[in-house]
Amino acid sequence: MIDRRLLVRYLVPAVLGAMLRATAVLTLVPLLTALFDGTGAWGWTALFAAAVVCGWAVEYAVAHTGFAIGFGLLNGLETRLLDRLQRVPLGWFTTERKAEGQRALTSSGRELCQSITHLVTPAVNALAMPLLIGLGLLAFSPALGLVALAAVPVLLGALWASMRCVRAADDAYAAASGEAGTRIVELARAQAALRAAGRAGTDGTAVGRALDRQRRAVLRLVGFGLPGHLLFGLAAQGVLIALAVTAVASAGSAATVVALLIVGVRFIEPFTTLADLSPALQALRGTLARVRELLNAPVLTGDDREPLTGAPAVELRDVHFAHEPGRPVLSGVSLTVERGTTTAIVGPSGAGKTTLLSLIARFHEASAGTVLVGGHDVTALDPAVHMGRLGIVFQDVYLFDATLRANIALGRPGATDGEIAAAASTARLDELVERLPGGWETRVGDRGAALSGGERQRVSIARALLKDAPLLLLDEATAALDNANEAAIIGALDARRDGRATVIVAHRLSTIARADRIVFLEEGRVVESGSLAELLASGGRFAGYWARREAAAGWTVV
Amino acid sequence: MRGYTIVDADAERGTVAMEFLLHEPSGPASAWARHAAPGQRLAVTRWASTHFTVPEPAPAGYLLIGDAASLPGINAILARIPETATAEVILEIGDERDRDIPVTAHPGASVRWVSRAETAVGDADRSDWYAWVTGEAAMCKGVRARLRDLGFPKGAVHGRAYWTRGKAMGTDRETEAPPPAATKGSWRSGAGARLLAPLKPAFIFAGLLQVVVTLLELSPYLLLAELGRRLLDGGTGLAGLGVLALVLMGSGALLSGLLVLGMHAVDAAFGHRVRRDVIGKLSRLPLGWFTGKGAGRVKKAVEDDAQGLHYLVTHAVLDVVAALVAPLVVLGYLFTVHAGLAAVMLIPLLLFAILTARMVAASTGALSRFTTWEERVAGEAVSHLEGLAVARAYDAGPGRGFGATLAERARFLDGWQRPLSGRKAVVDLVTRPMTSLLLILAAGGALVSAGLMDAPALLPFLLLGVTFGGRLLAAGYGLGALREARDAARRIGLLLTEPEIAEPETPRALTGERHTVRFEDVSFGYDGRGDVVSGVDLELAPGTVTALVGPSGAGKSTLASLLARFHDPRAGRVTVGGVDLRELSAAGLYRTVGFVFQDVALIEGTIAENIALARPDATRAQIEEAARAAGIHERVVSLPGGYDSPARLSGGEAQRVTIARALLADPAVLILDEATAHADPESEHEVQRALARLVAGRTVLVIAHRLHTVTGADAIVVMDGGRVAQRGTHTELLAAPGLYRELWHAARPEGAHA
Repeated sequence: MIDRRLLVRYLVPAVLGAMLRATAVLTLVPLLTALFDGTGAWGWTALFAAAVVCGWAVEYAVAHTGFAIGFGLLNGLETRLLDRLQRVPLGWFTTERKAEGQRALTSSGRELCQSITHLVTPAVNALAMPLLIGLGLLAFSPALGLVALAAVPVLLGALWASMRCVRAADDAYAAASGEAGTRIVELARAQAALRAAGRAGTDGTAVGRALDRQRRAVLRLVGFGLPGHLLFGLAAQGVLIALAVTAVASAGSAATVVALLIVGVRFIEPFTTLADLSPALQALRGTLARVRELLNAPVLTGDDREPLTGAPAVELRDVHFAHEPGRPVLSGVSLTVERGTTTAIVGPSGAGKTTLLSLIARFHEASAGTVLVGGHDVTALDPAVHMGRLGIVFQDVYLFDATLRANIALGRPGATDGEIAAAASTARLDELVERLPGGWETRVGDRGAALSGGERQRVSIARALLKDAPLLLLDEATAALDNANEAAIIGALDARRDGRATVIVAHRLSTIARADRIVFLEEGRVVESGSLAELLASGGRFAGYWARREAAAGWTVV
Repeated sequence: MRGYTIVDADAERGTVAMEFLLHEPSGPASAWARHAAPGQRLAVTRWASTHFTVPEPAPAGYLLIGDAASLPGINAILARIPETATAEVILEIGDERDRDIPVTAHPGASVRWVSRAETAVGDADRSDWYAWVTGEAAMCKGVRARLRDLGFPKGAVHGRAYWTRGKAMGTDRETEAPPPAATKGSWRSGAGARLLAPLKPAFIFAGLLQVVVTLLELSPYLLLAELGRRLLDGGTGLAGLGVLALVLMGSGALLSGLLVLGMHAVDAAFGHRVRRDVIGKLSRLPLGWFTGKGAGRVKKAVEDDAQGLHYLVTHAVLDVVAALVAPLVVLGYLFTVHAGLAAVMLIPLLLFAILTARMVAASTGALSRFTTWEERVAGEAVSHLEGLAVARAYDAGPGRGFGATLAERARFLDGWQRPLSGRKAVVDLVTRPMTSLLLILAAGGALVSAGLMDAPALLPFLLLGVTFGGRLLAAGYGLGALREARDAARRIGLLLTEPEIAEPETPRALTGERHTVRFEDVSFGYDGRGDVVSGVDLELAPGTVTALVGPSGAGKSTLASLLARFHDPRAGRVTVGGVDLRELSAAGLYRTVGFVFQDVALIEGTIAENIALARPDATRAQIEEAARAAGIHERVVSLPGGYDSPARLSGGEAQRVTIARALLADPAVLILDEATAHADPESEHEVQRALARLVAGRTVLVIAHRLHTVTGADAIVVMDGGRVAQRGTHTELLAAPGLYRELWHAARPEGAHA
């Protein structure tokens, strides 16, 4: 990620800068000795000044290189993150991972970029300085040098332990207050139910318990945090005393002893800097962890393969799938979708209908069994090529904040205006285009917010139609359409089928009735499958479902 | 606000039009404008400007005070504030022709031209008002003083003053005797300060202790200086110093530990109280509050803001005190040692201040563009992640566009930061300890060799005077944290001062079984925005079903929610059995009035507890009966824990649990959202059957989205634009021309299928 030469160009002067500073500090011994003895100190002062000024120049250069590295990092990181995102299985994204991913995309590059100058350079300096000063002191006072060098691990250890304690305490507090918060939010959400039940204000028990736990946790947390709060400060002061005692005990002139005392204080100072930097370093750890999680996310792989002639469009062989072990969503599903046919997936919620589609689209990969598309195991197909052969219309339609035309044209880059208009017309969008003030050039808003649910679905259908892929997956794609539009669109899809296979998850009876084959899914298993006539005649689960749906459609309140 | 207003700004082309008020004698702006020509280029520096943003929460009213010169700004504000807001415009008259300057029309605004603004303010109670004061400096001063008298907190008074003829003119204005002390209002914006007020003594005490702790922490360095001095003097009494150092360090650590413990105890008690208050508040807020942004605000308050307050109490105050006290004490001490050399120590700080100020001035434009970039990138990142599936299904997804956005932002950051990087490095080097050391040695060495200073007097400088610059800077960061914590306190305070639903002191009771429900000339709107329901009269006879129909946005749901007392009407009243809902206790109201809406709220607990929510004493047999009637019994017994299973159910199942709950509660009056039945297509039929059982024999008000579901209702009320447009039975309404017939024919009943 970082250019090696650039790193060398950064680290060499960074260490050189620390050495110059350490030299300046060590010059203080003869300088101050001379000053307090009243002998001429100007020569030493000139040397000191030279070291400091050279240090400035070097550090100025370091800042420049650090800046260049930071920006290199920013560009490289963002490109890599975006590239990774394109190849991660969609199923990998949970709500938390999406939130973390968003933070990683939005700010991690910038944070890492800034951290070079604000964190890494000072931290490198703060770590190098004490060691260099300790080594240098050996020349002036071996005893003091040894004490200083011995103090380095002690102070770093104390700093590390302090950070650990504080972090543990903060985590404990966050957990406890998080629970109390969750309970209160729940209480807010259930207000209507609670009050309608005459339970307002009295139902504080679960909340009350959480609050009490939280209150105790705060006090316990002080138990954790207190050593963290005091440890480093005490260690630093202890080292200061040890240095003072050693300096006084060393057999130097009074002036030398005093000079050594002052150098001792300079020796401690970088540790304080590190302590001040520690919260920011912690935050940097979080940023790096987020970036690492995304960069280490699994990726989809596969080759570019042409569909086998004669193979069914889709075939599932004993497919199992579970989001988490022990809670199967699909258990041993087998089904075949021939080219040029439409299969409707029907069943109660939680049956695994959407999961089934997402396995075909390879948003997830099956835990066991095989999903074949065009005769090839989907896991062996290049994801981009596979996607290229799919048309997908989801339940939650996603439109980009762009014009209506751009959102449809996504279906086939390079499509002519005529082709776009034809797809839109088939998806019954003519009326919308006429009604919108900007026509084709109207922006649809964030996520298509400017359109109604049914309009969004029609745009998404037009997009899929334009793509004209050999395999079409529709997940309740017409749920938000009124009957007239729905019938027209399904009819158009049928008419333009020419060898295209369609798998559709549907509740609407008219949609189900048009399918060549119906698969009734329940608790992750195929319970029944066949044509509408066959299934109704058999009087099984599907027939019961059909009857209930028919009854529901004619329902009146009174 | 110097008599000109920027209008028609076009950020992309970088062009603006400016409106000027030409006046005599003219100031620089007026003089320039007199000779300005269109297309002329001018260099602009933004300096000390005040923006108007519509405040959140909405104030009780806007008090806009100014004069002819500041009127363009006031006009722009009048154009921005909501139409339903109340505004009072007070304009000080300079010339009779001022009255000819047009004032933006606003339905809620009253405009007065007066001779003295501060007198015209009067002494009405203007609690929770927002004040905007712009005008000539002395007038602003007078008005601000007057507003202070009225109790306006600083945060509620905005705007800026200008001088018309230099400062002298401001002092020309003869001062009047202040009007008699007025009644003081109270402001919700002060809620944060009020919330923190009980902590003030603890903060003061802790702050003082922290001063002691900081001094104790500095003492080893003082003792080292003393040690050095004694060594140079011949080295007597060194052991005593060591003992003293140990004692001071020990007591410093002890005191610091106690302080941290104490503040955590204070925080625990305070946090506990705040959360308790929030819980108590939840039960007194109108139910409608929760359906809006309310739940999100509760979440923010108890999660993020509570954390902010925790940080404030346990760390921020102590940190800021320490960060301020240490450098100031050191500096003060060094001045007593040698004022001349101490003054030299100020040079790096001064340099730092100058360099930073210049950098900030150079960055103002970039800073606001930076914020815009951050918002844009954050928004696009969300879109990118949400649209990932689509972007992949359609290879050319604008996801690529996001990559371009990121690259563009990187270029912006580069272009902004690269020229500054050198200066930043210089600023950093200036405050480095080595720089201070160099100054001390050079200046101190010179002073010593000139005989103006004893060499040992350098010791305190060498030991203490090296790092205080950096520390003083740390105080700045601490202050930022304090500001954030104060905002957190303000948000929690605002939550705790949300208007509550009034509970009657002596609630009336509903007697008897069958109650007539009446809406009497009811009007209602949300938060001072326009009415959503206006002048509705409606009567629900006992045991009948009344359906509310109409286009979306007609006010159906809002009207129904008034009967459930989610809100109180702005005008008119809703009665049950002749009793105004406001005269009933919450418990009394909901014993009689029940509701089943679309959003299902199951509480944490078992299924049995959820069904028996309103009747905790119900027997298991009663619970099962209700569950059977709601068509959920079979599903419940199929769960491993049966009725004692935790209530984690699918949408349709949860919906039926709430119906079972309503069946067990058995209210005489029921409000029902018809969409409830269609929430989950798989269990639609089961939910419908459960609803049919629930409706039977009650007085029902149903919000109907699909007309064909309510054709059998006893009465259908057609709403349009918040008013009742038509009423009658299905047959009557279909027979007459009108909205109902249009809706019916437009709908093409959903039941039709192939």
